[in-house]
Amino acid sequence: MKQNQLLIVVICVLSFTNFNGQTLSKNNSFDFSIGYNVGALKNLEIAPVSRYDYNSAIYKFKYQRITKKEKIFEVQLDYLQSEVENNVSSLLNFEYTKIGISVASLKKIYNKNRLLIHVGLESYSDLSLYDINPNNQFVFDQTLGLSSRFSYQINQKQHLFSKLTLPTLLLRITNSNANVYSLNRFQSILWKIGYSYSFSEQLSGQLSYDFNYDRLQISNAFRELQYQVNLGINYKF
Amino acid sequence: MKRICVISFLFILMLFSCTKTLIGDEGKQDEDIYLNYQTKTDLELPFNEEWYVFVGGRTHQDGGHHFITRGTGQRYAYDLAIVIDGSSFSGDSSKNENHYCFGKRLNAPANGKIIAMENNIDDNYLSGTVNDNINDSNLAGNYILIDHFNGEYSLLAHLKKGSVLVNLGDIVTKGQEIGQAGNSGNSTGPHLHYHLQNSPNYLNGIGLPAQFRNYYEDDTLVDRGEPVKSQFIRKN
Repeated sequence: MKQNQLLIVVICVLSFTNFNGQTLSKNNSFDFSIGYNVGALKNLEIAPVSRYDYNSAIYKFKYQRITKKEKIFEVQLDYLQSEVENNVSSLLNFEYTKIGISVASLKKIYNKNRLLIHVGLESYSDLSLYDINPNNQFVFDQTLGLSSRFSYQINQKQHLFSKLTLPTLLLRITNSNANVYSLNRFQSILWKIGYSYSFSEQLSGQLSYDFNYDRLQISNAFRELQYQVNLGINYKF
Repeated sequence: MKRICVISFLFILMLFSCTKTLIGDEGKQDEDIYLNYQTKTDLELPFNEEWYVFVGGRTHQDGGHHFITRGTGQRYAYDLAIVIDGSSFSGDSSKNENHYCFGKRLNAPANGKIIAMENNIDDNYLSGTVNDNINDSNLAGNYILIDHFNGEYSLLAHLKKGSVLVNLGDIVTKGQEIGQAGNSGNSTGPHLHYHLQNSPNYLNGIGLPAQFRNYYEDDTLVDRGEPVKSQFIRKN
């Protein structure tokens, strides 16, 4: 219910700003989406559990700017909160919160036959909070990786898009230590695919799917997998 | 266009079906230990008086910080001290000597061989503050590691400087005096840290549940059990 109310408010706000933004150029855009996340988690530093599962809503807010040279600059904020559950013992369940900020800078390398391709760098900063009273734990991950974005214009109103990011370097800070890992220990992939429909020159709707996977091969093995289906709106100004 | 959609959809389904593989089996051994492990060694409490369990147990709440130290053997570790009338000290708490457990006799919890030890690290000068020279290499302070000859190893840590009575290679018997409780290493006050691990290496291995035999917990006789946080425990 709360999510529906939030969505209505955002649509109203964007409709209002849409009316007032007619005279501006359209190099900037805001995206807001609400999605459903199905996740699995392993963190042996936290508990003797080979797999936690969690399902929750996920909220995403993105600002995108396209420069005159058609470079893309993006900043995205993600937020989810859920109880993670396991099959070993309910005593080991806990509340899990994840807040992520990603920053990407992508350069156009191909634009032909309605296909547009950008490549560049993307950084992810994720803060994971484990609500384990009385010793709450956190994990801060900072990754840097290569990113590519594909966009295919179906017609004037519709297009498909996909984005693939391969993080290559990880800085991980936890309550007990801080380390840097490269590809021999850390493997990750983030893939998004989606469909967009333009309602007007400024407002469009999006349906997207996200696949996120992180694997850290250390004694305190860490793995996290997320499947997300997101429904959002995009406002250009 | 249709082909792209179909291929993408099939790829998404394929990824979803790979969840088990992508998450992997690491941690299954930890789960098995958590659920089923029975201590092989005939353990008795390593002290003579009544002590209080500050940290001990299998939940995040009871086990405290030990739940985040897999790989150092400490997952099921105990932090124990003597508490009288609700306090572990009398007078100025910053003085080690004012803590009831400081200097108390510690015993071998079972038969075994001393395979590692340290006896020359200063106790933290101020209780509540760790000395500047404590780092990753000497977190346990003065310690004794005992091989029980069955894949289980006992570690007693934070002992008083100069109190260790055994040497490397010594064979000890259950109940034999081996040192005194102290406040050395990464310790914020005099206490005994005890844990059982599956490796002979210093602070390296998987922690094992330590089930003691024939002791009282809160005045109830227990034949075999694992003390948990907030219990008073003593040997029978």
